[in-house]
Amino acid sequence: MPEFDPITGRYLHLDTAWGRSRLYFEEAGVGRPLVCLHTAGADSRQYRELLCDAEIASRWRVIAFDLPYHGRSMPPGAWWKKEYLLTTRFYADTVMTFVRALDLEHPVVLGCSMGGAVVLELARRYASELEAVIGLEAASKIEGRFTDWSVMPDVNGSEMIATWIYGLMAPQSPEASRRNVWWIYGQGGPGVYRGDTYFYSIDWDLRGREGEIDTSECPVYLLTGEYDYACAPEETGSTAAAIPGARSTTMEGIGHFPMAENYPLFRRYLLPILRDILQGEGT
Amino acid sequence: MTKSRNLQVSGHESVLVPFPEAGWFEALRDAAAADDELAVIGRWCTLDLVLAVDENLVLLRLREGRISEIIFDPDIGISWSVTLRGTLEDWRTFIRPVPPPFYSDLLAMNSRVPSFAIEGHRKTFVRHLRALGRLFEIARLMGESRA
Repeated sequence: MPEFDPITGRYLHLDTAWGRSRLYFEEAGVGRPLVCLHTAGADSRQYRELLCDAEIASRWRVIAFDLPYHGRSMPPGAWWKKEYLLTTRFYADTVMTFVRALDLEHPVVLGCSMGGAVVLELARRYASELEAVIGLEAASKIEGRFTDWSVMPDVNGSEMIATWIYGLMAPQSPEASRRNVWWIYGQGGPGVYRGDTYFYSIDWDLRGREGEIDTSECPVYLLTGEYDYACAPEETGSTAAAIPGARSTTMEGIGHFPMAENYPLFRRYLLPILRDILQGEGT
Repeated sequence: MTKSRNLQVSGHESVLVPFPEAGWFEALRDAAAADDELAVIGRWCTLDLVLAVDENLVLLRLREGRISEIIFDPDIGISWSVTLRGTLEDWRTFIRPVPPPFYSDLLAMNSRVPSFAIEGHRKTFVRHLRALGRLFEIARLMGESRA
């Protein structure tokens, strides 16, 4: 008998801010929708273990998509004529366009790093359409990640980016998982990591506007790994303190890629949140 | 006053000496030369790198991913491209088998540990990030095997 993952992959045609786009997404499970957003310069493969988690799949329809320019979602239009720089509007609009196209009713949106940043923006803008957001490695502002290193002709951009982000993980996370994270980053398109960091290191800034998030309508859960030096736990804690009702937890022994670098440990932090959300719905 | 000492030692006993004594760097040189991964990725890694430990300098001449020379307190006639500067405590924390948060990576320390800095031609450092990352991972593995 062939051995299959429980994951199904499909393509969805969407009108996004970039124009007509063909988005790749994967899903598994049945129940309440849980949309997962990958990190900068990566793709939905980061959620493979979450998608394969039978306990979660029994209650949740887990969906992870590749943003255009990432993974199997090709860059739309005449991409070669434009510098890739992700903006807050493009990113937030694309997530919501995807959610609406699939008729996902009040999904929980979980995102990591730039995905963690955008879920805070989604909670601010679209609270009435969302059940809750879960931000991993998120804070009101992440500075210092936008650099030109990876696009310089005398730097091997794919190896440089992959190694740079490798150092964001906890050294005690399983080596095979950390190497997979490295590999996914090594496959990122030229300039894409840089363009993604434009969103959260340059364009987006929640500082001073955290209070605009209404957690009574859209609860906010924040989880940050203690080894994350790009978004340190105290920075997440400050953001949580500025959002009335937001909950924040530091994950011990984890770095910047919890769902990918050490899923068995990460799920110990995730499961209580998912249970809390379901209980809040009265299910 | 210490002058330049060229420690091109070859074939020696296993030395379990603390960082930053000469024996520690010799053990690192030998472990790096025997490392399968560095043999694959190190072929394009040639640079002169200084580890500044408090006020002391140790120059590592890296040639195709191998440490070809270890020079303590390089004299005025010797140049290099990149300096990794930290306190003795910074370095000893960094090379622990499982370092604490913010000490697990050179770029982490550069951004979060005030006493640590990556100096000199930083793009050269970035160009060799992968091989240097492995080199210091090997340093950690040496500590692990001694533990």
